[in-house]
Amino acid sequence: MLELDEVTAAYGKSQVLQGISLHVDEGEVVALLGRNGAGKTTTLRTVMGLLPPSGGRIRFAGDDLVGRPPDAVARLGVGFVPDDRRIFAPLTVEENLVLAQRVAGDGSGPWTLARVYELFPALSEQRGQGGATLSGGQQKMLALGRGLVANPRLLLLDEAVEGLAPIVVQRFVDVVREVATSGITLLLADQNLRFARQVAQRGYIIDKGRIEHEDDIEAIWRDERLVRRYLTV
Amino acid sequence: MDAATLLYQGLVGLNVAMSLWLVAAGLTFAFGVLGILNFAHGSLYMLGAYLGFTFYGSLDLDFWLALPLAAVTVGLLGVLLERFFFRPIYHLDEAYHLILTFGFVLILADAVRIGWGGVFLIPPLPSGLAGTVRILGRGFSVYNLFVIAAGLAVAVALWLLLDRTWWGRKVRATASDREMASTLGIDTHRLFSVVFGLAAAIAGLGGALSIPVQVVTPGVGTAIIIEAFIITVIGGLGNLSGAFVGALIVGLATAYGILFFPAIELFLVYLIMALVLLFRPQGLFSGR
Repeated sequence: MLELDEVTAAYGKSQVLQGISLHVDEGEVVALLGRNGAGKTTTLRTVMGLLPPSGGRIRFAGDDLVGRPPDAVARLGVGFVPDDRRIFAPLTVEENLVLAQRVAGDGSGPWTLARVYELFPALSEQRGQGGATLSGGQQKMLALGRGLVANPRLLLLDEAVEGLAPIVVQRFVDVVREVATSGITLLLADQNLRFARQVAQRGYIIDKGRIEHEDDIEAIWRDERLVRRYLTV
Repeated sequence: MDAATLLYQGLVGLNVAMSLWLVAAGLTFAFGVLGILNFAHGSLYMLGAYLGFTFYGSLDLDFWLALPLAAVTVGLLGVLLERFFFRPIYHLDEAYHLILTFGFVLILADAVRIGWGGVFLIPPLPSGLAGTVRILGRGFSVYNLFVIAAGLAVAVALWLLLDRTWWGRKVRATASDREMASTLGIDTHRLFSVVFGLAAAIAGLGGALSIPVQVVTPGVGTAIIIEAFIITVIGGLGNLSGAFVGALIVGLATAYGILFFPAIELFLVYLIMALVLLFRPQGLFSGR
């Protein structure tokens, strides 16, 4: 469904992606694992059209993504949940969700406001409040909910549980599993192998802008040498 | 001085305020959403005045047709300006915005000199709006009342549009985080064009409204942009409510300044701006 072939990208003069090749098949949950600054977020931003790649190809469901602006990529069915949440502060919780639903290309699918509220009752209770008044964890929920109500075919999920309390992390594990069951393909960018292992089937390890390893997530989890070299701080 | 005089002068101030608001509204709206400080915004007002003069004064079109026609024409010009000149420089420093838009101040002033030439007469007031009504024992121009109503109508319409429609929510979301808005599927380029066109159209409307009561010259663009800047500085750059309140403050200060301190009437407005900058540099209504 998503295929990156030798993708390179740079911020100004510093080359951040040195040639990323990876693929995500329909219905899969794939984790892109690596430390801070390894190039995970940049990879997702490049797919989304936020950072034009300097080389390589990106294909999604038969369409070439390189050169398309982010709104066009979104309308093809790619959703993006950034690690820093990016809730629209001037809008209420509900307006954040409805807006995402309205501007999505097709938008029809299993994910409705009611279902998001069911998963995250805290959002439902504060639906009329300003987006900026939510706690950090609730903003994470809203960011994920906003990504879901557009009913994308592929969701790019950046650091889904970073900074969340353990009990909330467990909630996110359940939600991401439910998202995968609902038919949305997922590409996660995460440092948290413990979280990734509970939701993903396959993983790539990225370091200094290169893919260093690809394997089943369980195989990565068990490979102590690999984990120590690329994932632990 | 009796109460009637004070109230009457308030009405005079309201008239000044609403004329200025029609310029400040678009200036602050475009800045709040696009981040472009458009020095040529006053020149769009001027162009609206010249077009209004041509449509109403020369071509003898109906006043009620000439007004929207001038506004729409200036709005379309705004869309073109945004598309071909401002879009490539959003990411640059604000100094470049000022240089480019100041360039358009000069270009548009010369364009109207070439297109319309020198001086001309003020056309007569539209028949339904001529004459005066008696308010508080004095005569007040019906046309000035109409200008007040038009300013208020634009304020209410803008508020409804931005606060109550999904297009408005889209605009507010994009203004707060353009990148995130685009990843949800909002074509922010197109949105910016429409917002800038709307801002330009309001300036064009303001200009066209001034035609029966004010002689327009190529210099009117720079004169009015300075007042609009003062208003937005007082109200908070990029904030529409701030621009409205700022226009009221400047309008009323001008009107009461003439009444109480005729010697320093012009100075009074600058004094207010200086005080705001000293004690609340972000403006009375901060943020976008």
